[in-house]
Amino acid sequence: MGIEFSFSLTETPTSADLKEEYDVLIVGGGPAGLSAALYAGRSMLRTVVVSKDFGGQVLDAHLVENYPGFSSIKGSELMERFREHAEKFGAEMVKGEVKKIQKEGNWFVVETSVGVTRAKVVIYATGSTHRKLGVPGEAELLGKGVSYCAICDAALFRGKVVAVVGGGNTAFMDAELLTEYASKVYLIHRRRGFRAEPIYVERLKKNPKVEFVIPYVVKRIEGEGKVERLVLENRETGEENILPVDGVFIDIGMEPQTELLKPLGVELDERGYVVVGPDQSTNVPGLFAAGDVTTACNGVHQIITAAAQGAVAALSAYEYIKKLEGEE
Amino acid sequence: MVLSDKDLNKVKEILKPVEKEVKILFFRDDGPECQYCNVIEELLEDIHSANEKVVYEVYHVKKDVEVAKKYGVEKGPVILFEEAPRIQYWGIPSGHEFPAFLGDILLVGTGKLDFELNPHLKEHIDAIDEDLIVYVFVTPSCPYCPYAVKAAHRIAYLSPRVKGIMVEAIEYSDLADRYNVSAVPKNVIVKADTGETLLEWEGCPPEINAAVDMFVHQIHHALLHAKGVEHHHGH
Ligand SMILES: Cc1cc2nc3c(=O)[nH]c(=O)nc-3n(C[C@H](O)[C@H](O)[C@H](O)COP(=O)(O)OP(=O)(O)OC[C@H]3O[C@@H](n4cnc5c(N)ncnc54)[C@H](O)[C@@H]3O)c2cc1C
Repeated sequence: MGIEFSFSLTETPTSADLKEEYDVLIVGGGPAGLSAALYAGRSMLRTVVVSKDFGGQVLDAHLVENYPGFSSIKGSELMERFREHAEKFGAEMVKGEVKKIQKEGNWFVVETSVGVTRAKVVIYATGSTHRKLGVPGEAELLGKGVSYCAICDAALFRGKVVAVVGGGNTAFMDAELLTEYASKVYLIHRRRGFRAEPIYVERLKKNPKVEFVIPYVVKRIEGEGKVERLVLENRETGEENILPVDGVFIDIGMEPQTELLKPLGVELDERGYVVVGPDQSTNVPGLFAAGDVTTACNGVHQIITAAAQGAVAALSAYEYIKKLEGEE
Repeated sequence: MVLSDKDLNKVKEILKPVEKEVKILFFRDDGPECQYCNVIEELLEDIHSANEKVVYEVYHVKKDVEVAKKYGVEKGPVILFEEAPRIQYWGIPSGHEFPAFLGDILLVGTGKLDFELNPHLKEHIDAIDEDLIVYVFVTPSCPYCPYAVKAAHRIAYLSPRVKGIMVEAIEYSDLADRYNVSAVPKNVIVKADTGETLLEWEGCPPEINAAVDMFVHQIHHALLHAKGVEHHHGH
């Protein structure tokens, strides 16, 4: 890989100061939140995005190859463009963590790590975080061979043997990235079929460094102070196998981040996703949700679907505020 | 030139607040270990062209022995600030580390802290009474790493007892192997005189105030632990 100098959004020095009041406060600066900011800004709403980072999960994506208009672009670069685009239409970016959201009359009072503010509408776009395997050794050996961030750690496994656990796009993308460094990459998946797009599967099947280990699940991760082997179980025969590896990358999906919504009584589905209507509204008036955290888009979790939901949420927010002001 | 015109303009914008001269010392080497040394030199030249107040001098670790010795540099590439030589980069500040590097130039060039130093943290930093090295192992593609680097560097800026060193784990693979680095950021607190590892951990919250808070508290615990052990041996 060539040398690059990013101005990663995570570190952009400009963070606006939090004001006392907004029309729209967006929680989360991933593709959903930034797209919502763009549309809300263009609708002339006073808009702020409060986020721990700008770019969300996409910052962890090595190369994005399925966002229309870009045949291949670095995740951080794509998100830098999202942010710049939203700022161009007046949306403000405040770096910080939202701690609490309360509804008082028609206002949402929002506590953040950088102060308290209020807004007529909250668009909740906090995305999701890595799901854990929940097996012995996973927590103990985290950072000692267990990783959830291939883009961070892949280069540390030069000439080593690694495993990737999972059958979705991320698992395949991570496995592909790892073949640039590791001598051998096992892809462990519980089923014989994969959720990943066929194009990723075909590419990896042709890669001589990759071996598919299916249908297996990881029972334990073992090693003295560092990962040394995985104990696997064949899902069809029940047979146990030991696979010596130096590292294991876990890509078994994501969990929606909804803690802040519980006190508001927001409806979640049985898997914990925020239930939204076609206009991205939740059961709480004025609270919209967008992106990976919701039930929308048939459960597809991609940049384009997150962005689409952000756009819809912002336009719905505009309608909601117009109506609210009509009543006043 | 290693920076595009667009990036150069951004650097210009970012470094606008620099008030006084910032002198960067770059210690290079030759051979395969210094594969990025030419790039680093070009990068420093680019930054200088973006802001004339940022100047740099290039030394050779093996030829400029006196200077290298003065700053305790044994191997290149090492970048440090003349005014704050405890802030160091071992390896190229590229990728996500580039903004951290620009942030350090701003810090040295303005003297202004870019995080909230509350009295509690200040008390802990002032109480550091051992010479420590805080290594932060990174890879340039790791989006969480710059927070750890910034935190270590800010503590190094504030405490005369702490050296904060970003180590690019691929260029410094021997050191990375010695500290069993298999995830980044990996942070190691070492006693400067004995080289004894006091505490090591992986990870860092992606927010500067939280990051500084974590590092200050880890240092505090490392020192308590070190004293506890010494105390124990004393009996
Ligand atoms: C490694 C990887 C590779 C991927 N590659 C692709 C790809 O190639 N193509 C593709 O289309 N998709 C890809 N995806 C999926 C895509 O990144 C997600 O679908 C998309 O980012 C979801 O967007 P979002 O805005 O809903 O949430 P996220 O991207 O998760 O963003 C949520 C944001 O909310 C912030 N946040 C959360 N809680 C708080 C809080 N309390 N206060 C403040 N801020 C908060 C987070 O810091 C984050 O910035 C990839 C995902 C991963 C992990």
